[in-house]
Amino acid sequence: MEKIIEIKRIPRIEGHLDFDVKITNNQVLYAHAKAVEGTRILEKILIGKNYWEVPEITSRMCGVCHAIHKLTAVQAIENAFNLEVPEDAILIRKLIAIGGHIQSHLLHLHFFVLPDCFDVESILDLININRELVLKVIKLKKFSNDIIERLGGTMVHPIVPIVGGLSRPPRKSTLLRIKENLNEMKKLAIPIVDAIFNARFPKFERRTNYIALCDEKSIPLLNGFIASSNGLKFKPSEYLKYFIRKKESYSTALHYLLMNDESYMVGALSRLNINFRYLTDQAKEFCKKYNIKFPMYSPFANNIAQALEIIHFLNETEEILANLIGKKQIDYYTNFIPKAGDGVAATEAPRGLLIHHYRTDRDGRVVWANIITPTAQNLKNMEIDGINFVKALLGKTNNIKKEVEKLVRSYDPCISCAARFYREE
Amino acid sequence: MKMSYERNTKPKVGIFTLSSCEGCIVQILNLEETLLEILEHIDLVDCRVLGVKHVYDKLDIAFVEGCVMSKEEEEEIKKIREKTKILVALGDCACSGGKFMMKDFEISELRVSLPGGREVFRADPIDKFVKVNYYLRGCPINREEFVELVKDLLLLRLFKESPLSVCSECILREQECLIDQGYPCLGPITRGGCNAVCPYNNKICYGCRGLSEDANIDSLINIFKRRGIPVPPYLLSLKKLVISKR
Repeated sequence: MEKIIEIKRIPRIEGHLDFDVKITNNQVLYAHAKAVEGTRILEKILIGKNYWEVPEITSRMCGVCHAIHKLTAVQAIENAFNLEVPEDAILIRKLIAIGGHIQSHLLHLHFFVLPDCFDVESILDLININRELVLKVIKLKKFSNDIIERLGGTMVHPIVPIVGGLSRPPRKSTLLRIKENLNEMKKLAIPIVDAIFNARFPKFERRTNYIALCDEKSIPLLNGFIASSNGLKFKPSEYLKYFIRKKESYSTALHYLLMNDESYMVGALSRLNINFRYLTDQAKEFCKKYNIKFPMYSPFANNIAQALEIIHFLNETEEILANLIGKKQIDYYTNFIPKAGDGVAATEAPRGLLIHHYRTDRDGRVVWANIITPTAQNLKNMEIDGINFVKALLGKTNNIKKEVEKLVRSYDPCISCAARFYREE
Repeated sequence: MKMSYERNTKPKVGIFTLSSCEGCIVQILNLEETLLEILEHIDLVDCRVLGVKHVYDKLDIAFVEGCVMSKEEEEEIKKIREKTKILVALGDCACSGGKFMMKDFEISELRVSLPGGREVFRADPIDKFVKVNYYLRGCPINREEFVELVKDLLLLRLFKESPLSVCSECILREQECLIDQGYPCLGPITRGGCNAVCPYNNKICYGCRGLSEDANIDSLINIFKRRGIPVPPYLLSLKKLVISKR
C-alpha cells in the first residue's frame, strides 16, 4: 500500500512551504520539505551594487528577521574593508538584534505554536480563551519592536545600521526611555514564558549535530567562532570548507549538509545546547523550576530554548543599557575608504546561524555574494526528523498531518529567507 | 467606486501573501493593540500566516502582499480578485514588483533554473494581471497609513494617498538636506506618506514608494549635476520609461 501525505502551504509559519511524506507498506520512504515561494535571486541582484546598497537589499530577504540580515551584511562588508567599528555602535547594534530576536520568538511561540497547544486554529481564538495572556504577549512584543524602532529608525527593515557604524546615535533620553520600561517587561515576561513551559509538546527525540556561534563567555549573536556539538570549531571565514550545498529539484531553497553528508540543526536549541552555561541567572532559575537540563535532543525543545532566550536577552538588554547610559558620549561612526576585499560575517538570526559573504572591487562594488540562511541549513535535518517522527507515529494517530505540521513549526522555518537564492546551473 | 457592506454584518477580510518577505504583514501585526481593535470591526476569514482559514465564497476586502513570480501565483491573484470587492496592494512588491531593489539590474537577460521547469525569472506587480483598488506603498508599508486606509474602508470613504513628496515631508521635519551634503537622495521625486523616515535618519531616500505624481526627473538630474553628485544610471532609464508612458 502506497501513500503520500501531502501538506500544502503549512499555515502559521513564515513563507510558503509544502511538506510531503511517502509511506509504502508501513515504511516511511522519504520526507520532502518543499519551499514553493518564488526565488528572488538576491545574490544575483547584489552583483555590481555599491557596498552601501547591500544591507538595504539583503534586509528585504525577510520581514521577520530583517534586523539581523541587515546587521550581518553590514558586518561582512566591514570585514571586507578591514574596518574597526566603535564599540558603542556594536552595543547598539546588539540591542537592535536582541529586539529582533525577542520579537521573532514571540511571534513564533505565541502566534504560531501556542494555538497548537490549545488545539485552536489561531491566536484569534486564543484571545477568547486567555485574553490576559495575549495582551501581555502583545505588550512585550511592542516593547521589543520599540527597541528596534527607537534605535533603528523603523520597526521593519531598520535604517540606522550602516557600514562604518550607525547613521545617527541614539539620544540619551531614548536609552532612558527603554530602560524605564524594562523592569515592567521583565515581570511581564514571566507568565509569557511560563505559558510555553506549561504547554505540552509531542514526545520525540533524535540526536543530531547542533551548530551555533560560540565565544566561551556568553551567548553571542554578532561575533564568535562556529562550533558544533560534535567538537567542530572554526572561524566564520572558513565556512566553505565545512558546509556543502545540495540542490533539490522540488524546492526553491538550497539545502545544506556537513562535509560528511550529515544533516545538522541551527537555532535557539543549538545555541543553548552549546552555550547553556552562559545563560543569565534568571534564565537558569527557570531551568531549575521546570527541571530542564541541556543538552536536549528533541526538535520540539527548540520552543523551550526560545522561551529561555526571551528571559536571557531581556537581562542582557539591561546590562548593555546600563553600560551605554553611563557613557558621556556615544561613539557611533568610523570614516573609511572602500576597497577591494573579501568579507565573511556569521551571526545568529532568531532561527540560527546566518552567513553573509561578499567580495568587493576597489570602488566597493560587489563582485560576488553568497548568503546561507538558517532555514536552508535546517531543511535536511527537518526532513530526516520528519521520516523518524512519522515512523514513530504510524498506527498511533489518525492525524499525522497535524503532528507533522507541529514538527515543521518547531523549527521556526522562515521560507522567505530560504527561498531567495540564485541557482546558477 | 460605489460600494456597501451587507447590513448588520462585519466586512469579510482576507490577507494573502505571494512572493515577498512578509514584512508588510509583520507591520500589520506590529499594530499590536490597534490590531485587536481593528479585528473587532472586521471578520478575518483568511490569513495563512495567522492560521485563519474559514469557509467563505465572497470577500469584501482582500489585502495582498508580495509580487507575482510564477504561473501559480498569477492564477492565485486572479482567483482572489474574482471573489473580492476591494483589492488592496500592500507594499512595494505588490505595487511595483519590488523594483526599487532591482535598479540597474537587467532581469530580461537572466536565465535561472527554477523548480517545475520554469526558466525565466520575473517579478511582476499584481496590477499587471488584475485591477487593484487601493495601493499602500513603501517597503515596508507605513502602519499609520494602513490604519487610515482601514478606517476609510470601514466608513465607505475614499482613501487618498499623501499628496506630498518625501522631500516635502522631510522639509516639514526640518532635517538638513542630504542632497546639499552631496548624496544622491531620491526624496524630491518619490511619493510621500512615510514621513521621510530614511532622510530623517540620515540616509538617502531609495524611492521605495515609487514616483510621485508630479515627479520632475530632469530637474533632479540637473540638481545632481550642479552639485557634482554622480547621476545614478537608473535615473536616466527611469526618465526614458516615464517619457515612453506619457
